[in-house]
Amino acid sequence: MNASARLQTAQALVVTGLILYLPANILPVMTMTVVGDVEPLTVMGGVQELYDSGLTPIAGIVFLASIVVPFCKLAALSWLLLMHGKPTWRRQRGALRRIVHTIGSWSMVDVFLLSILAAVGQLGVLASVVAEPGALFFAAVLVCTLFASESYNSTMIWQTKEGLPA
Amino acid sequence: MSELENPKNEPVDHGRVVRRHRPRISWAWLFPLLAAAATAWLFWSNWKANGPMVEVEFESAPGIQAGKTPLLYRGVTAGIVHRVRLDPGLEKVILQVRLKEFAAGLAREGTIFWIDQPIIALGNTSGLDALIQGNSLQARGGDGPSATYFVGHETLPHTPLESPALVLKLRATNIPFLDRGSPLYYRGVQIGSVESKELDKNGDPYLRVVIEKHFAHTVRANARFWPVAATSIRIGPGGVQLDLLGLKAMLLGGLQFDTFGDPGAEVKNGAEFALHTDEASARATGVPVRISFKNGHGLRAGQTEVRHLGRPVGYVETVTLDLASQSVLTTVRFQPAYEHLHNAGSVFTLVRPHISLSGISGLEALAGGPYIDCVPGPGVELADNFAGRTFTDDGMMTVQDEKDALPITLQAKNLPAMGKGTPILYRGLLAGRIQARTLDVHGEPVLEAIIRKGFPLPANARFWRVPAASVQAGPGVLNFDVAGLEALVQGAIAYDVFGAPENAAPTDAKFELFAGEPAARATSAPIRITFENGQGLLAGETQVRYLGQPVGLVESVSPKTGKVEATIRLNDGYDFLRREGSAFAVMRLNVSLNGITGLETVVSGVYIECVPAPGGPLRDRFTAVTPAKAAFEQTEQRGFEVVVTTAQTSIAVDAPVTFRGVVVGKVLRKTLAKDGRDVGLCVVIDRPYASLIRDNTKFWDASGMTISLGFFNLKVQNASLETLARGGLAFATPDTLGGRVRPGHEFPLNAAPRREWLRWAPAIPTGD
Repeated sequence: MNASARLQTAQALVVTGLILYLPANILPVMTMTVVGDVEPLTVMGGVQELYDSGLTPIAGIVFLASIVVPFCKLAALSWLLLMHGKPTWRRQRGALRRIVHTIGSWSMVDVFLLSILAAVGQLGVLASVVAEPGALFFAAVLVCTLFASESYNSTMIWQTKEGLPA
Repeated sequence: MSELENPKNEPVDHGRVVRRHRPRISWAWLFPLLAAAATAWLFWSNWKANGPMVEVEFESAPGIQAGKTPLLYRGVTAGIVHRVRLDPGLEKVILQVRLKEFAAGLAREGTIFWIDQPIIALGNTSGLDALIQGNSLQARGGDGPSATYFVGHETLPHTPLESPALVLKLRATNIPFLDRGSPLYYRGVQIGSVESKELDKNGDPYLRVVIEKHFAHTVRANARFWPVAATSIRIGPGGVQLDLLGLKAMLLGGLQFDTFGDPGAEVKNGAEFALHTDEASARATGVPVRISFKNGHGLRAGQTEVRHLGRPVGYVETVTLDLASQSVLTTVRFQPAYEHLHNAGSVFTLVRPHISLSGISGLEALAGGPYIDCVPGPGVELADNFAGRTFTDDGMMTVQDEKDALPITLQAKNLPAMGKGTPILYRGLLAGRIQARTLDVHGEPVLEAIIRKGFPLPANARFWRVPAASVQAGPGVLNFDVAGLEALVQGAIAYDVFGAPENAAPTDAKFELFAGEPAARATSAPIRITFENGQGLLAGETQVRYLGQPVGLVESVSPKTGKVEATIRLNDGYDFLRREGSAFAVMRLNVSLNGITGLETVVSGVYIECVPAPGGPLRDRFTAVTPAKAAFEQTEQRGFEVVVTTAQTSIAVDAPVTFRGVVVGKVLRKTLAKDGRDVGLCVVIDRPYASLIRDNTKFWDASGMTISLGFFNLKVQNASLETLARGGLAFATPDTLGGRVRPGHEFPLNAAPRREWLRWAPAIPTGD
């Protein structure tokens, strides 16, 4: 695949991610039923729930990992793609892409946790956890960012209209 | 060629290989399109699934959470509580409910909303799922025009889904045990249930009853409703019958209805009916009949039954007091089938349970309450006004009895707490009753009584009180005596004649009322006995006994010049006990080394033992002797007395005298001979054995124990424990019998028997 195709793929995926980011945060990611208390939780709702339970640090971590980080990734990738071909900030852009790429390998932790929770948390009437459509969107956002950062590799940062500098 | 073709040596523009810049669009751009489409579809479908928003107001909304609490309709989530707020006046909770699209039909007038919360009550448990899932909002669809504002119900309707076909109101003055959920039966089939129990504006209770649609036709205008008790136990001659209507009815009670006679037209929604107290009253639909009673004791409106031949045929509807005629007016309704029973000449009798010594009557009224017995008259025309009677029986004095009865007066020092009506018994039969407790002309309290005609009442009759219950205790005897149920409640008076009956007592004769039967029985002239010690003697209680049998009673005890004088009276026929020389002694518990005597007095109290003298004139003044003396007198009359002399002996009084190991007598006294050289043991041999004593009889001391030490054994012979303590005498008579001796014959006491004495085995006929 040539550079243009790569660029376009990355751009398309970032746009997709941005579109999906909306339902991923509005729709509930899971429904937690604890002793009859049916509670559909959005990502933000989960953070709220944790914060209300007094688990402020964990709420912070989840907030960072599930909301801030995906958003930042999208924002960072967007910025990288907008800056594509411009001669400025190349070093910083390279560093940012690396960071995004590195974080990418951790970004599925949420989805992983949810899948485990849904598998384990099946105690019949007493408690159950069911994944909701929101989780699908959430995972899709993450997948988009992953592939976007993969498509847009660091050599493309240095690419100009004239091709790679000598 | 190249020079010629390019003479000016211009640089040749070979041209650059420029890739044609075609703006190719990557297929990756399908992703955003897809994502946008999916998101748009999602939001659109979400938006479309939402129906209208309705508002429901409640007094309180426990457990309702905005965004969480579902609105359930037929168990399906038909919406969700979107917002919970209070109205501006803080008096209502207003729930905003976002209905689902498919449930938009609930936004209609007539839809009922209520909060489903767990109710755990007898037979009425509901909302158990709410216990687990939390409270929910529930709805039952209406069918009016569309609306968006509703007033929620505070209590859940009993039939959540189908609209009830027929709602009736049942009124009663008192609805004790029926409640929401109580089943309504029609000939055993449950056709509905009580929806609520409420009070109307006047404070009268009523039941709202919901009847299922397809049973609505069973309720007719003439239906009569009555509650059925949860459980009824009927005890009768046929045994015990336990009626259970089913578990639900057992917990909640139930309702039943039926139409008796013409069913009437079908009824409309909201029709009102009276709730009768029971089936009998429900069945009684006849015209009201008025019966007046002089005494309405036990009559209860709505409960008292009218019975004919023991079968309920009607019931008392109202009971009112008619002050003008000083009577109780009852309104009675008959069952339609028994209307003919209240014709001219019918007799109505109020039957109450009556327990008397002559029997128990109206026992069924004891269990079922008083009832009115109906005996139809000969007439054909129906009447509706009767004068009722009060039930009387053999045990009760009829008016006629009272007219013919003989009035008498009973006097007593202490009048017992017996009131009017206390029965007077003659040998267990009801002979009369106490009429009044008054004071006589001298200011003495008396009981005025009447004795029924036909009962003998000689002038020498003796009256005594029959205590409600008495316990007689003696050695080996514990006798609990109840003189009958009526007597148990109020006691009774009994009378009888002891001795030859005299002439009949005149009218208004005066009799003394004795405290008890023993006192009444002691009819003899008073005997005065002087005692050294009157301890334990109780006037009216202490018995006089002869050979252990009570024959009289101590009438009074009074101290007199350092002594105690007791006045006793003997029962009829025991005058021989007061002959001159008779001995009277107070028997008390006596514990000594020699034994315990008078153990029975521990229970029965001390008594006076009487030992009559064989002959002599009657006396009425005696001086008491010691018990030992009395016993001596008694023994003396029974035994044959000889004297055994010895120089010195440890044999004590009462020591047994044995013949071949059998106790045949005892040592009565121990005296010194007149010259003081010898000790004389006065021995009494029981009469049957007197013939064993012959002039050649040998007496020896059998005291203590014999210890013989043999080569191989140690043999301890001990006649008895008693001889160990008191010593004892034994005697033997040779095979060749000597002559009979006279009483008082003296024998020498040998220290030990000779060997041949023990082998003597004379054949002597014993017995008197």
